[in-house]
Amino acid sequence: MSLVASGGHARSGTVSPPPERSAQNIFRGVVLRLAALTAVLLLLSQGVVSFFLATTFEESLLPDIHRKAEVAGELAAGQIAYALSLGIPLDSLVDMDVFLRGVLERNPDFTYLGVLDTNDRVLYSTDAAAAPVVGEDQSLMLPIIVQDELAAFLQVGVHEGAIRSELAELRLDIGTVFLATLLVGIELLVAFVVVRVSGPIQLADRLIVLSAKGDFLRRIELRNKDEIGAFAGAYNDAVHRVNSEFAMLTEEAEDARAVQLDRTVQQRIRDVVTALGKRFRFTLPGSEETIVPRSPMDVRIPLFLFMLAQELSRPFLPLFFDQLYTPIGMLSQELTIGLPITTFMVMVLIAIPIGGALTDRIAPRAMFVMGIVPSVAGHVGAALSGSIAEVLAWWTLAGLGYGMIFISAQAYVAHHTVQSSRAVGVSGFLGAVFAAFVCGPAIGGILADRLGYQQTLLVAAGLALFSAGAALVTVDPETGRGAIAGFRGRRRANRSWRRLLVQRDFVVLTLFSAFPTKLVLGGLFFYLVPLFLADLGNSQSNVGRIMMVFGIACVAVTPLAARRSDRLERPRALISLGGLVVGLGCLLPAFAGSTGGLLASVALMGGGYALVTAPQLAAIQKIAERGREFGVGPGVIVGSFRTLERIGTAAGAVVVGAVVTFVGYGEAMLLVGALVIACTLAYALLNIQHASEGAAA
Amino acid sequence: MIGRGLRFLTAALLVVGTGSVPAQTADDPFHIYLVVWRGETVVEHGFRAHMRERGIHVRYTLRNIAQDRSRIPEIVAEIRAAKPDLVHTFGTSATRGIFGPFEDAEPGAHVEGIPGVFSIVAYPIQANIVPTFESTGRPLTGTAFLAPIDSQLDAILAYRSIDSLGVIYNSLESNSRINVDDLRAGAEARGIEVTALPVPLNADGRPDAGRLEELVAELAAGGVDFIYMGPDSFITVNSSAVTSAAAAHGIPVFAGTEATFEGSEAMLGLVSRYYLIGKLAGAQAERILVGGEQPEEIPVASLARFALLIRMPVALQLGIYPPLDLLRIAQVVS
Repeated sequence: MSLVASGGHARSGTVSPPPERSAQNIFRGVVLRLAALTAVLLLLSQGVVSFFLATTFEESLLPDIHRKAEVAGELAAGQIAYALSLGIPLDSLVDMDVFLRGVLERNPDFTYLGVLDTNDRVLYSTDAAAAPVVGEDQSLMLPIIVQDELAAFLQVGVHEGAIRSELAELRLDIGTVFLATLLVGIELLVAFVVVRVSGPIQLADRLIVLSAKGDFLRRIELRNKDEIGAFAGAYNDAVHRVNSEFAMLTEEAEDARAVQLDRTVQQRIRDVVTALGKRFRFTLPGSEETIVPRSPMDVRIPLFLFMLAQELSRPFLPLFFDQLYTPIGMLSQELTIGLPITTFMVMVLIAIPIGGALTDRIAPRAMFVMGIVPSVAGHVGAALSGSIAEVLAWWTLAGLGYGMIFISAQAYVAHHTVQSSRAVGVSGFLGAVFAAFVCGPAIGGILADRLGYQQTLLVAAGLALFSAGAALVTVDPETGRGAIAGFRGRRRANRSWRRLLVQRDFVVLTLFSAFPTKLVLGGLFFYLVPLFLADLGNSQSNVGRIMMVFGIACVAVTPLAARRSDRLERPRALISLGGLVVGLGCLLPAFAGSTGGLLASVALMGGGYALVTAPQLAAIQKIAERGREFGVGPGVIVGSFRTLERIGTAAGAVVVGAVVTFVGYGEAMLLVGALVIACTLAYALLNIQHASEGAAA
Repeated sequence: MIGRGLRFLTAALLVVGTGSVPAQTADDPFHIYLVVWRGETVVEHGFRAHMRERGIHVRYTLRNIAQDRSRIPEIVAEIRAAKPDLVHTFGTSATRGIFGPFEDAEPGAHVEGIPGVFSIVAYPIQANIVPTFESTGRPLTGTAFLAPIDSQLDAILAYRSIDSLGVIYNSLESNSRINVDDLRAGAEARGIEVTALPVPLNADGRPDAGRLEELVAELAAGGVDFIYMGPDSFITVNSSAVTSAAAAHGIPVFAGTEATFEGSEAMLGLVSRYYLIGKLAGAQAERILVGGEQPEEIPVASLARFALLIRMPVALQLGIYPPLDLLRIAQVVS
């Protein structure tokens, strides 16, 4: 409140700071504070709810867990009863130690099993020392009944720790949902505030500043039916009034002038009116230019929802494909299940340039909505698929939708931002993608555990459909229609990219940094990590949570890396460092092939990936700036780099799939890690050499 | 049609597809000869049941060799003249008698050019009926019914650990000799000593059933832990003599085929259910008659699962009780 007031006050003074900047700063401050406040409130309320949920679950679940132990115990007791019913004497049961040990192994929460006769004498037991102490440990005494007569007892010791670990898993789930909803809440809030509050206020602020300078040419059109809307209405009325008054004044002056006989008086009246018209800028009432507040953030909510839908399947996709595996030709199983991941990315690769060209013709919003069709069809089709061939086709279709939507959102942002503020626009765009990247896998994992793979895919389809609805509401249908801004350069120079392939800096960056990092993303993160984690016995929720760590590490490191790469002016050092971190992350599971080891590995991969990404962008931008020297436009350079990167991501799953055909998961990661480190060293050495050559010259 | 046939095979015929197959009409049914070795068995019941369930109209002609090889030529001649659509044979002897050996067949002495399906042939390759299981090289395919010897031995070991195994066999039957050789190799790999006793021949040169009791006594004296009965026609016919003698000495008996298990008081068995084998043979026949496939291109099929049978009264009588884990998967026979 005070911020807005003081801001207004500052500008009403005679010496005002550049108005645009101050308004933006103020509103960014408001948005940040709002986000922070909401985060705290959400944190508190969610925290309380989560706490109560966890306690309630515990209360309602404990009996269930005990019941589970009881059922498993009854099953074993039933088998003993069956043997006795066949006529085998109780004291002559064969291989009871093997049998009881087997039951123990199948039920990790059992600590002890013992068979007692009706005189409470222990005839068989797993380990006498582990017998539960009555009154201290959880122990079940199950009757073994043969032909309606009590024949014996089966005593089952139940491990409290197992129950606790099950509850811990549940708490972890609640915590994940808590964190994910917090992120989703903040993401939606920020986007909402920008679109509905700070955006319109910023626009109003700009117009008021203009009006203060005497400019009454524009009116604001807002859909807000709130105070901001009322304020805009009042402003529009005021502008209308001023223009009307001026028109009336002009008319009256004209009338007055017409009846004046004295020419100097006539001239004086004319001068006054003309001077007024010069000092202020008026227009005819009703013909004010209407300004609609539009911001690249309009697309953020639909884009976030769509990306969230897309990320839901991340933690189980390769496992889902594995379930549907049937041999295709000579391809190994490992390679075959990586295939849909690759074809998805290939389809994205194809859809982006075509979709880009098409978007220019039909407007981004139409493209977004059109992209939902193949995406939803792909998700639903994949969910209903009965074979790997079917799922391959459907998932490839989903890739088409992803590419169309990605490019439509990018085009929308590009149309709404001038060069200077493009970075802000793009960061908002990437913010949506990243927020989804962090929340999606965790939520998807939990859904997959509770609902199943197919059902989670259907949920994703529903969410994608919803995102199209959001796009219809928030995104301006006209923006970018018929325009070709932003893509002109890329399209024109289809042939000039070849010249790039002999540009040393470009080739070194692409080959030794971009490719290996994307191989890790596409091959290890998208494909191998879920398989590896599941192989280690992790639940889908756990897989999703651990994959979330990649996103969190990215989010934590990105601002750091972005700032450094700006300041250092030497992105190469950061790229090399990041490459080494990624490589080390890949090596780790070969030595610590546990869930913990993989968690650390994912965190290192995520952190290293973020270290590399921003400086890579800076480096390619530098190359792009010099592009004219060798006759390639900057758009083509960045575009080609992006395309080559995506090829790397696409190739990842099949390359790693081919590798794990022959070696284990840990070894495959070791090999990829070695490749990344080798490439990074090559990148560093080639750059040092280049720099020294440059110095010598 | 081919696809449907393949699906059948993988399902091991336990599940039969829905809907009836457009086949011969009731007025013009397929003509199938069922040649049996010692009367109609549940194999033929299974075969007929499969055809019935699939809605395939068939006219059957049943011919019983009744264990008398001299009757084979007249049946062959009859089939050659009748030219049926398919011939199904039961057992090694009937199959070899009707279709002749794969190599060195006497021209004109066997059924030629008519598709055939065999069942209950323990060792079709060793018996020179087909060269391989995958492609039979002649218009003849069939079903394999014997559980692999390793599975049989593992079934015995799952019941109780043993050091020595006794087997009584008819040395005149080639399948018995092959079986005993296999058994020796498999047992040796598990550190089990095998005592194999051939049944002495009587004056007619045929195995003497009267000597079985004495052979069991000899095995008992040698201290065998288990007696094994394999795919041996003579032993199958006389299996109850073996098991009652064994029971007298307190020795459990294992049976490798359903006929041997059912016809005796064997305590343990790992067998293919003959009824299911018959259905599997029916599916093979369907692929030929309805699916139009060439029998030489249809691999010899086997069931995906075998039945582990425990005869509880015998186990109780001998005081050799099955382990609990085995009871979970076994079918208990009383």
